[in-house]
Parts: sequence; C-alpha cells; structure tokens
Amino acid sequence: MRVPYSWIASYLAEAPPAVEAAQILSRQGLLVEHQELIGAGLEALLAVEVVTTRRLSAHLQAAVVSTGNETVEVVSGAPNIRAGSCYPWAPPGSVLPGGRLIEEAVFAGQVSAGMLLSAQELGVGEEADRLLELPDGAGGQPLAAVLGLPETVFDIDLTPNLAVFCQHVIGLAEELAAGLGRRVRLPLKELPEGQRELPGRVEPAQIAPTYLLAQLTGPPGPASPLWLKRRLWDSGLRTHNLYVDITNYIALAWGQPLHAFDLDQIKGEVRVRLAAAGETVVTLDGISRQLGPDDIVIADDLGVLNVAGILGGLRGAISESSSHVLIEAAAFDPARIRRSFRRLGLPTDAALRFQRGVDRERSSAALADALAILAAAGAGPAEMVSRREAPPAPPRRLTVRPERVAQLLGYPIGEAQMAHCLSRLGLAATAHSAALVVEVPDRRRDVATEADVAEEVGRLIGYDQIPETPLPSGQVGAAGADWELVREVRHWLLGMGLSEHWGNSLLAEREVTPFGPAAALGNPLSVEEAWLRPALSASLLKALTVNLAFRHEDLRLFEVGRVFFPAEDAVREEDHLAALLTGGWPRSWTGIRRPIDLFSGKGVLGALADRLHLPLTLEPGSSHSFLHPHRQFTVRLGSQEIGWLGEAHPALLPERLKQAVVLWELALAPLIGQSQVPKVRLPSRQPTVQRDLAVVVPETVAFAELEAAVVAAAGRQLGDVALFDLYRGPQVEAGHKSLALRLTFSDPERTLTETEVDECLSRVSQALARFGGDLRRG
Amino acid sequence: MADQDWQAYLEAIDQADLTELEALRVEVLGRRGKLTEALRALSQLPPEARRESGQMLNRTKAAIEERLMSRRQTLAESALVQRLAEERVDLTLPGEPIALGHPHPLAMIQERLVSIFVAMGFQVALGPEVEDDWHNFEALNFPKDHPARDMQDSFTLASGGWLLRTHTSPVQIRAMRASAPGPLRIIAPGRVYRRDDDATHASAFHQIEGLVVDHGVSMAHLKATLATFVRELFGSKVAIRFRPSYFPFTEPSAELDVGCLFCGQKGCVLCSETGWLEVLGAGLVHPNVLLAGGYDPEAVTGFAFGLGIERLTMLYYQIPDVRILLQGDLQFLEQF
Ligand SMILES: [Zn+2]
Repeated sequence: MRVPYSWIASYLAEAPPAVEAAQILSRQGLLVEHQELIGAGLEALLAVEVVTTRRLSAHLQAAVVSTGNETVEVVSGAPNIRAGSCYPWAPPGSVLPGGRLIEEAVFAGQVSAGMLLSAQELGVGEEADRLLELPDGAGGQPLAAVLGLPETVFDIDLTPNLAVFCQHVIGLAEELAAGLGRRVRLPLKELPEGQRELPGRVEPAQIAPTYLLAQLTGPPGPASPLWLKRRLWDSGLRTHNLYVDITNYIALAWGQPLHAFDLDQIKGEVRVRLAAAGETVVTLDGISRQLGPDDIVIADDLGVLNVAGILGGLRGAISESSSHVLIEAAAFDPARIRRSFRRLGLPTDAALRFQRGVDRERSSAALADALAILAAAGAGPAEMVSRREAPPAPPRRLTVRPERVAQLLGYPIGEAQMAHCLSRLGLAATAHSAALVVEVPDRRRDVATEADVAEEVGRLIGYDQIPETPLPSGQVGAAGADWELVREVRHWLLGMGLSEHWGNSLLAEREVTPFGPAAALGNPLSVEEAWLRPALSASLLKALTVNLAFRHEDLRLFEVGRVFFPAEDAVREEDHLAALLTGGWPRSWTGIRRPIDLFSGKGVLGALADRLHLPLTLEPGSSHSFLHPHRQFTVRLGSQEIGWLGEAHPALLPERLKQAVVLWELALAPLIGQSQVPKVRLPSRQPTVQRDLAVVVPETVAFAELEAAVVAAAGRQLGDVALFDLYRGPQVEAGHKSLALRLTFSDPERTLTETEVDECLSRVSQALARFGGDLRRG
Repeated sequence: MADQDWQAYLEAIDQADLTELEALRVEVLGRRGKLTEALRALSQLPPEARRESGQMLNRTKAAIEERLMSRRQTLAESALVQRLAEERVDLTLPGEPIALGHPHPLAMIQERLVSIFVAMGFQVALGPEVEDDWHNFEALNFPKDHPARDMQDSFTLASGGWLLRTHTSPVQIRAMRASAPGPLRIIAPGRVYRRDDDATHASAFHQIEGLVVDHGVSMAHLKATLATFVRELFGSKVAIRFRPSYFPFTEPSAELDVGCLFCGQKGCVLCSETGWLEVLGAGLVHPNVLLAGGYDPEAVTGFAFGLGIERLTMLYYQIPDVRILLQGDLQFLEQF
C-alpha cells in the first residue's frame, strides 16, 4: 500500500519525522518496505501567475507571467493556460526531477524564459497533457511550499490481519498514534438532515446493514482541489473529476468505499436487492455481466445500476457533464460480496474492502467527510436521501488472563502495563479479579482470542523487547534412519562420479506413461506439468533431454525423491533412488574415454550395495517395457523385489542418440536398517598363488554358470576368481567367446605346494570341460 | 715404479668416466694389476727395504682406493642429476580428472539446515505430498471460504478430492496427532506445490517446517531458537530483526529478517534497498491448531516456523532464477 506520509501525519497533532514513523510502524508489523522521497530539489522553482497570454500558433501561446518581483515571457503548448491562474515555473538554469536542465529556448520566433510545467514534468503525478493548476494567489511563492514538497511516500506491506483495520490512512495514523502513545484527530462531522429510511429500500435487510445516500448539486465535472489530487497521485492513483476522486479519496482515508451516481440517469428510487436470475448489467468496463440471485445489486425503476460493492454500471456513471450527484456509503454482506466477486472474476478494491467488512461505526463519518470536502469545492450543500444505519454493534468483551499473556510472550508484563498497551490500541481493558476484560470495537474483527490479545500486546511492546530464552536442553536430536540412509547414498554416489538431480515431480503425460499408471492433476497450469511422476527415471530422462539440447552427452545423474502411484481412490507415495548413466566417463589427455554401458550401471549399483553393506542382488531379466527387452535386471534385497536396472528402451530416447542410456531405480524404504555389519577376518599371512586360465565356450554359456562351476570344483583353497578379459574375434571360433579368469589360491594355515594348486586346477579344468570349454592355462 | 707414476694414476682417476674407472682399477688393483704385482714383489726385497717399500705401497693403495671410491660417487651423483634433468615434464599440463559427482545446491542447504536443528535437539519428521483439505488447510486454521486460502492456491488431483500440499505445515498436524499429549520437537523438510501462474515462481519448491510443543513454550523460546539457528547459519555477527506478521496457523505471528549479507545493511538490489532480508516466518501455534493436533491448548503451548529452501539457496549462491534449480542442467550443477 502506497501512502504519502504527510497524509498519515495530518491526523496527528504532532507527528515524528518520516524515518522515525517508518520504524514505529514496521516494529508494530506494518512493514514499511520502501520510502520514496518525491519532489526533492525543487528549490529553484516558483509558482507564477499568468498576466496575459498571446497565441503564437495553433498549439503555442506566449504568456507573460509574474514571478513576484518581475515579469517574464514563457512559451507553452498546454491547453489550460489562462490569465489569472497560477502554474509551476522552472526558470532558465534550473533542473527538473529526473535531471532535465531547463534553458532559454526559442519557439515560433519567441524566446521562452524557462518553462511552465505539468504534474508529470514535476514528478508528482501522471497528469501530462496540461499544466498543473496551483491555488489562486500562489504566484511568487516557492513551488515546494505551495505543493508541500518534498514528500516521503511509504510503501507498506500489509498482512491480511492488519488489513482488516489498517488498509486506510486513518488506520495507519491510529497505529502510529498507538506507537507514540497519543490519539488521532479525526475530521468528525455530522451528516446533513434528510430522509430517514425508505421502506423496502434494502430488501432483504441483511444484504446491506448500512445504506447511506446523499444527494447534491454542483458544477459539472469539477476538478479536485490540488491537495486532494496530490494525495491520490502519491498513493499511486489517477485523478478524474471531483465526484470520482472523492470516492477514491474516502476509500483510502477511511477504508469506506463510496459510489457516485449521475442522478439524471436514474429513474425512480434507488434500491438495494438481489439480482433476478438472468438479469444483466453493463459494467463500467463496457462488459455485459450475467447476474444471479446471489449477487447484491443497486437498481432503479429501469433495472440494475451497479453490482453492489464490486463494480459500477455504465448507466448512472459519473461523466464530465454530471452535476446532480448521488453519493452512496454502504456496508454489504461480506460473504455475498466474496462469492460474487470470485464468480465474476472482479476482485476490485471496493470488493476486497467489503469482503473484509467495513467499519460500520465510521461509515457516516466517512460520508460526512466526503460531503464536507465536496461542499468546500463548491459541490453542495447535500441532503440525505437514505439514512439506513446499522445500530452500532456493542463492543465484544474478551476476558484474558494477564499471566497467561505474559507466559505466551515470555515477557514479564503486569496487568497494568498490559491494560495500558491495549488502551493505546483502542482496546479498553479493565481489571476484573484476576482477569482483564477487553472491549473490542467492531473494526478490530481480527481480535477474537487471548492469543490475539497477546499479539497486540507483543506488537506494542515490540518483539525486540522480548528476551531470548533457550529451550530446555536434554532432548536428543536425530535425523532418523531414512534420512541417514539418504545421506550415505548421496555421499557414495557423489564419490562415484554421479551428480545429484532434483527433478520436478510434475511432468507431461508423455513423460510419465512409459512408466505405468500415474495420477493426473485436476487443475494443471500447463500440459507440461499435469501428471505426478510414477518413477524418478521419468525426471532423469527429462534431464537427459535438457542436457542433450545443450550438447551434453556425458551424463551421470542420480535422484532421491518421491514418486506417486494411483491407488484405489487415493495416491500411494514412495521414496525412490534412481540413476541415469550415459556417454562416457571423463576423457582426459592421459588416456581414453571409457564408454558407459549396462555394466557401468551394474558396477555403480554393486559398489553402492557393497559400501552400504546391503545384500542386493541383480537377477537377470524383468518385464519392464520401458527397458531394453534383453538388457534388464530385477534388483532384489534378499528375496524381496525392490527395483530394476537396465538400458532404456530406444523408443524412449531421442532418435539421434546412438549411445546406451542405463537406468536403475529402487524403493528406499526396504533398504532402511538393512545394512549388515561386515564379518571381519584378520588378513592371511600365508602366501597366495595366482593362476590365469582362458576358456573358450559357446556364447550361450553365462559367466555366472562358469564362475559357479569354478568355485564348486576348486574347493576351499580358492580365495577369489576374477574375470579379467572377455574376447570375441578372429582367434575364437564363431559363436564362441573367450573368458580369461584369474584364480587366487591360499590356505589360512600353511603354504600351498605347487602340486596342491595343480590338483585344484585340474579339477577346475574338468568342470569347465562340461561347457565344451577349450582350456588354456597361463 | 716411482712415486710420480702412482701420482699419474691418481690424476687419471679424477678424469675417468665409469668404464675408464673400471679399466684403471683393473690395471692398478686387479689380480695382475701394477700395485698388486708390486706388493707381491716385496718378498724379493731385503727386510729393511721391504718394510720401507711396503709402507709406501700400502699408503699408495689406500690413496688409490679412496680416490676410486670418491670418483665413483661423483660420477653417480652427476648421473642422477642428469637422469632427473631428463625427467623434466610440462608442469602446466592439467591434473588427471577424477570423476566426482556434483551435489545439488538445494540438497546442501537442506542438509545444513537439518544438521543445525538436529544439533539443537530436533527430530526429522516427513509427511505425504498428496494431502487432504483437512490436513493442509482446515486443521491449520484456514477455514473454508477464508481469504487466507487465496494466498496459497493449490493443485488438486483429478480424482479423490486430494490436493498437493501447499506447505510443509500439514506435517505439524500429523506429528502432533502422533505425539499428543507428549512433547514434540520436530523439523519437517519437504517438497510443496503451489498453483502460482507466475514465471518467477516454480510450481514445486521446498520448505523446512519446525514445531515445538511443550509446557510453557513462549515467544522468548521461539526467539532464542531461531536466533541461534540464524547465527549458526550466517555467523554470530549477523543482525537479526523480529517483527509482527501474520499466518493463519500461528498467533502471535512473527517474521525474522537478517541484516543484508551483501551490502552490510546499506541497501542493495538483493534486499530491495531495505538493508534486511526476510528469512523465515514463525509464531506461537494457534490454539485451534493445537486442538486439531490433539492437544489441550490450556495444557501446552508451542511454536512453529517455516522457511523456503529455494530462497536461502538463491541468497547463498546468488542464483538469479529459481527455475534453473529443478532442470538438471549439468552446466549449472557442475559449479557445485
Ligand atoms: Zn542489501
């Protein structure tokens, strides 16, 4: 909310400097986010009075102006230049806000001594097409004094609770006064005489507890006084004519929206009622709106004039020729206003104020202020046409326990000090035995509980005054087993050269469907983020696409995150761990690039299981259609299936990508608490003997079968068997492969003899012969 | 042989390379070497002369052996110097790349926050991302049709009336219902979703929620806890400001600002010229929320706080665009 500080200060008898006021308001929860100084550096500018004018061309006039001590001649193209009026003048050599230097210039052969200025050129308003008209008699005075410049404009961030009673200048002034321990001075005037309530004017009665209408006659389309324009400009509004400006001004000053009607366009009595089904109105923006029986309307004999409290209609709107005017000040049913503006999509300033509820005790004061300003500007006197006023609500009484409030705040405050704080905020508090009874006025609808009162007291003491009291120690903190597991997983995978990805859980339908049933959003913002991912792999593949677009084809990513499966009328969530590997490991000048394939994925997952001491196994084969049909595994923990590993099916990948993309994905929950404590043995001090052997077998023989046969045949003295070469090529028969194995023998008790090792080897050879193996010993 | 002849050998040794040195050794000290022969010939001399010559020859032999050894050492040393000189390499070549992965910035900041609170006695609590209206709004004192709901527009699921949680606060309710009437001290990191049609926001982002429920918990406890956290995170000299604010589920509510870390509170673009950065929202748990959590608001009180991990991450690393965080662009990730 933008508001010029001088406006706030005008309601206080004695106001502090703007900087101090900003600190007080911020401390009370009205955060002054920004303070803008406008109209600074105008010392050289004067208000001048035009003596005579002389037309130079169709657009230009030369004006002789009086600066107080002398007269000079200035050329202007403005349409509103008139003899006898006063305007801002920048003499030659002066500088405008924004840095423009004013010099003597020649227009249509006439030398112009400086320049007459518009509000925009002065940087005080948006009005650009006309000179800023100053009050009569201002000629010769310093411009800054005439305009009340420089001005500090506050930009205040209002939280919804404070907006209930503070989204207007008087509310802000009351807060500032409370902070200073003073009272505001409000322009309280009486409404003029006039008709009381017209029977049936508001029907049903509860839709508008307050409905005030004043009628007046004034000049057609009068301009607002300069001070009022300046306040609206500084608040970030445009100005139109007095009848429109006054409604905006009062809404800002009092929080009470007003509406002005052109009386000449109204037939019969103005009434407040509910719209009939199918009734329409053309609103100010020229759009025809379909209304229903939930919408409150203002109507006359010809039909709907306004959508009450939300937006005015085209018929009955103020124009430049309006001179018979009706001014409305009302309180409408907040719940109905809220439903209507949401349905119509019209969250106007008035609608937002009415849905929060206006201060019923001040509707008439706000209208009286408006009528007084109108009268001072020559529009009036006014008479009341409708005077339906809700009876003032009796103040709500709230009983609070001072010691409870002190306990909540953690601040030692006694009953008397508390009552004093509250009274400063307009919440009269009186002691009754051990309690305080707080009288809450209607405008403080946000104060309803003891906790609310604690906040009010805290705001006024200042949160900075509340001490820091540490929580009692003795609680043991813990991240938990699941969190610890993720920490470890992250640690090891980063060490293995995988980078961490956090992918969006919301994906496009085409991205989730390959991974099975997924849950859809009911109200997505875009088709790209319309489904919940059923697999982290879907996010990882999306990251692959992003990186391919930037020509990054070496990618090693992992992700830990949530996935979602549709379940009967609900969604099941699981935390998963997944990885994507493609391209190669880093190429360097010291060696060659190692391409990533299925076995890279198997290696990474195997190493992770090893580091975490988890009994993971990879069982060849699974039935996932998103994987290469012959390059996939089921991942098991013991006998439980917990995930899969494989090459992504080429159908999932961009066609131009010629390299394998390896994916694996596991459920995390089954892994929690499954780390095995390793069984530690002391290292053997006996020498080991290594023997290499190569065996040529048909392609159909799996390595695992060979390995199992070797282990079974060699006996307990075989310490380790490792595959160190796999060869297919000219030296090997077609349809066959050569596997080179390194066997390590040892005995924990003694040194093995050559003979013993040879015996072992012959048993291994015999076993391998069953596979049709052609054996060579190394 | 005369003295000067042996002297000539000594000089020859000083000039010899390794091969010549061996030849000289054989020539003088070998089995048929000149000195060996001379020593052997001593037995032919009369005893008087034998003793004199013997002493002289033995001195000569020792001198030659000593000279041979020192020459050999000199040669070995210069050979080593030579070899090392040949091992000169281009020291400016890059080191061999080690394939380490890059952690995600959000993970690092989240881990930092979790660690600080765990050290302060908090337990990590997690909750579902697909929630019902009651846990996400109603129980947190956002009544139906209340304007406060407009602040957090939610995604709904196509079926079942579920929604994606708009904040981590529903974890408060779940944790309270699991622990009531016992005390509680939790933090809940997690992903949240808002239907915010705005290019500067991401639809999915992350928060950390904290909750303490116990007898006599006050704003003073809240201040101490959060001030300790902020000093741990940003350093003990950071300026801290608590000011009143509003959240439906806390009362009184507060916001915590820290003095801008980038401009020393002089005002800059990052702090919108205010000198302060908003870090987190907090407050005493609203009595209605305690009730929804299964506690008696007369018996216990509590405080809660929440902060955005993205905001902290972006401040910490000065990342200008939130949307880069969930894209998985390696050019971005490789900087961490
Ligand atoms: Zn700054």
